[in-house]
Amino acid sequence: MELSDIIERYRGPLIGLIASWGATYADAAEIAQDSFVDAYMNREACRGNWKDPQVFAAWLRGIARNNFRNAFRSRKRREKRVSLVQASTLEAAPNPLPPPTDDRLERLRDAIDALPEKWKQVVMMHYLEVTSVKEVAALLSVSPKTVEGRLYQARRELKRIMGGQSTSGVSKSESSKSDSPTLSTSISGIGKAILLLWVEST
Amino acid sequence: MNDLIDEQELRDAMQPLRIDPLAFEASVRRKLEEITLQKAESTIRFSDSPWLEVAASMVPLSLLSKTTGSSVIVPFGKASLGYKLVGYAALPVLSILVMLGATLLAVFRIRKAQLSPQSDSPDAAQQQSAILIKWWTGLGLIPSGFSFIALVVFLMGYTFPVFIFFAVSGIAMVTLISRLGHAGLLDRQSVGGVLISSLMSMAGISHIYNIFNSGCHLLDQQFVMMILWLAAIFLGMLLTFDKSPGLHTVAMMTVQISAAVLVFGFFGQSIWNPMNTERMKHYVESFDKARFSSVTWQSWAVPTAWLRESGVKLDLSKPRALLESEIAGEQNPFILGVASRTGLLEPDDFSRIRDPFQRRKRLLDRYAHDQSISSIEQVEFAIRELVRLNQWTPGELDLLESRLLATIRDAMTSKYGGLDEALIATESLQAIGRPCSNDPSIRQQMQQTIVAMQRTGVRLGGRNGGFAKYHSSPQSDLLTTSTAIELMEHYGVPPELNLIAIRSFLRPEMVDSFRSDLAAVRAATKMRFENLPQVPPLTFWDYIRHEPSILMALVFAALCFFATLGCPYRPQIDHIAKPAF
Repeated sequence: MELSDIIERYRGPLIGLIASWGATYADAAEIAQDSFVDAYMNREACRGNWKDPQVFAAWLRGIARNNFRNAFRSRKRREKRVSLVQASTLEAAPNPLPPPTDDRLERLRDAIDALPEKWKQVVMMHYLEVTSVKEVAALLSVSPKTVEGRLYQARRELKRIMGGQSTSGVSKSESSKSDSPTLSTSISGIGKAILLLWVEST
Repeated sequence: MNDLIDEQELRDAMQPLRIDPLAFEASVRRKLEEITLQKAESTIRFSDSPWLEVAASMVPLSLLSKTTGSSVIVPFGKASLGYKLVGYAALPVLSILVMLGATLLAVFRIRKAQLSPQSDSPDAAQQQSAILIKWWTGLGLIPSGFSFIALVVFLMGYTFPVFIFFAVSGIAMVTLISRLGHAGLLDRQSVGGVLISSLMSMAGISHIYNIFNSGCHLLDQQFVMMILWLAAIFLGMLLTFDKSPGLHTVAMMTVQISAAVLVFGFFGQSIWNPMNTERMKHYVESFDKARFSSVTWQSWAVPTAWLRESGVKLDLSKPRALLESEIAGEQNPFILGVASRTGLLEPDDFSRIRDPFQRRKRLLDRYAHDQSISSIEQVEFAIRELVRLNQWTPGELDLLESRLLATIRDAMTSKYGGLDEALIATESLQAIGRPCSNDPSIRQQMQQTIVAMQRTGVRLGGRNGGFAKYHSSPQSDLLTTSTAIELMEHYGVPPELNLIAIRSFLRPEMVDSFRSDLAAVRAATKMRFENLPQVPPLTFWDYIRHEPSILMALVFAALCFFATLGCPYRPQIDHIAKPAF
C-alpha cells in the first residue's frame, strides 16, 4: 500500500473515530495526521503483514488511540493553566465551526453527538467523508455486517430523536408512510430486529 | 426505509466538518519528511563512530543537554559486540548516577511546567516525560535491579566484588559521556548539574544505608556522606568558576565554600576533633557528675585506668569530690569497686565504709571454699583494700584464691557468666599475690572463652565485632569489649580472634563529639588494644580492603569530575557531523 492510498482509505473514518472519542474535529485531524506519520514510520514494527489492509487498519487505530490519550492528557494540563488575553484577541479569533446555516442540520449534529458510543462511531466514520463500510469495519476490527447493523440502528435512533421531520422530499414521503404502521411493516421490523441481533452477535 | 434518517441528510450534517484532503495529505508528508531528515542527520552524526553510536543510544541526550534538543531515539546501530558490551556495562552506574539525577531534574521541570500558568513549554515537558519513561522501561529498569541487588550483596558483606562491579560500570559510563562530550553533544553545565543532583541523592541514600550497614570498617562511615556532599559542592564550584566572573559568581562561590566548610565540620568531626589523649584527660579530670550512677563510673574508669597506666599525670580532684559524696551517702559497692581499681579510694576511706568486715566474712565462708563468689563486683573493693591494709592471713588467702579460681571457671563456663567477673577475679588474684594467668590450662580456656564471646555476625542498626556481656547475648557491648582487651593483657591474644572486627567495633564516629563518655571509652579501649604485643599494626591494604564504601564514594566523586570535565563548556553542534574518531 502506498502512503496516498493509505491516507485516502482511512483519513475520513480515522478522523471520525478520533472525534467520536471526544476530540474536536480540528484536534482529531491533527491527531490523525500524527497517527499516519507514526504508523507509516514504524510500519516494519507492525505485528503481521502491514500491507494487509485489515492488519494496518488495526495498527493505525492502536496508534491513534495512544496519540489521542497523550493529546487528551496534554489538553487537560493546558486547561488547568489560566492565561489572560485581551478581549479583542478573542473577538479576532476565527470561529472553529462554520456559522449554523440550517437549524435542522445543527440539531442533527447534536443528535449524533448524543448517540451511544458504538453508533456514534460508525456514523461519524462513515458519513464524514464518503467511506465504504468495509474501511470502517477494518478500522474497527469488526465485520462489515456489524457496521451495517450499527449504522441501521443509529439511523433509526436519529430518526426517532429528530421526530420524523426531514428536509428531503424522499424522506418526507417515507416518513409519512411510517406514521401509519401496517402488518407488513411490523413483520419486517421484527425480521430486521432478529437480523440485527444476529449481526451484533457475529 | 421510512423509519431511518436519510443518508443524504447525514452527509449534509457532516459536510461542514470535513477537512481539505489535499492539505491533510500534504501535512502528513511534511511531517514525515521532517522526521526522516532528523533520523538521517542522527545516522550521519553517529554512524561514523561506533563509540558515539553506542553512547548516544545509551545516554538520552535530550535529557542531559539543554541545547541538543532532538527527541529522536538513536538506534543501537551496527556497532560490534565489544562496543555494545561497554554500553551495557555502563548502564548500572548510569542509571543510579546520571539518570537518577536527570529524572529528578526532569520531574522538577515537568512539575514546574504543569504548575506555572504562564509556562510555554508543556509539550517539551511532556516530551521529556515520554523520553524518561521510554529510557527507564527500555534500558534502565534491569540495570537498576542489578544495582539494587549489588547493594544488598554489599550489605551482606560481599563488598569487594560489588566495588569492582560499580568501578567497571562507572569507568564505562565516563567513557561514554566523555565521547559524547568530545563530540560536542553534551555540555559541562548540563552534565555537571545532573551529576550534582545525583551525588546529593546518593548522599541521602548512603545515610539510610549507614543505618543498616553492619560491615567491617576501620573509619567513620559518615565520611561516605562527607565525600559525596563535598564532591557535589566542588562540582558546583567548578561549574560556577566556568561562568563569566561577576558579583553573582562571587556570591555563589562564597555560599559553596561556606557549605563545604559546614559539611566538613559536621561529617568530618572524627578527623578534626578526634578523641585523643588530651581530650581523654580533659574528660577524666572534669568528671564531677555520674548521670547514670555506677554505669557512668564504670565508663569513666576505662580511660582513667588507661591514662594512669600510660603515665599521664591526672588531676582527679573533681572525681575525688564526687567519690567523697558517694562515701558520705549511699556507698554503692560498684562505685567503690571502680574507685578502688582506679586508685581513687584512699586508705582512710575504708574505715568510713559501713560493714566492711561483713563482706570479708562472706568471702571466707568455709562451706563455700570451692564455690564462686557471687556478685564479685560488690566485694572487689573489700579484697583490694584489705590487701592494702594487710588484713589477710595466709589461710584466708588460700581460701580466697580457691574461690576466685572457682569464679573464673564459672565465668568461663556458666551461661550467665561473663568476662567482667573473670577480669575482677583475675585482678583480685593478682592483688593477693596469687596470679593465675600463667597457668596453661586456665590461659587456654580463657582464650577460648574470649573467642566465643566475640560477636562478628550481622547486626542491623548497630555495630558488631566487640564482645558480648553474657554467653547468651547476641550483641557486642562496649564496656565488656574493654574488659576483654584487659583480659587479653593477662592471658594473651587468642590466635583465632578476629582483630579487624574489634578494630571495626572501636572505630571512631561522628557522634563522638557529642558523647565524650562513649568516645573516651572507645578511644582508650582502642589504644589499649593497639598496644597489645600480639596485635599487628594496620597496613594500607587493610584500609583498602575494609573501606569499600569510602573508596566507592571517592571513585564515584572522581567519575563525576571526569565525566564533567570530559564535556566542553558549551556544546559544539556545528562540529557534530564528522566526529574525529
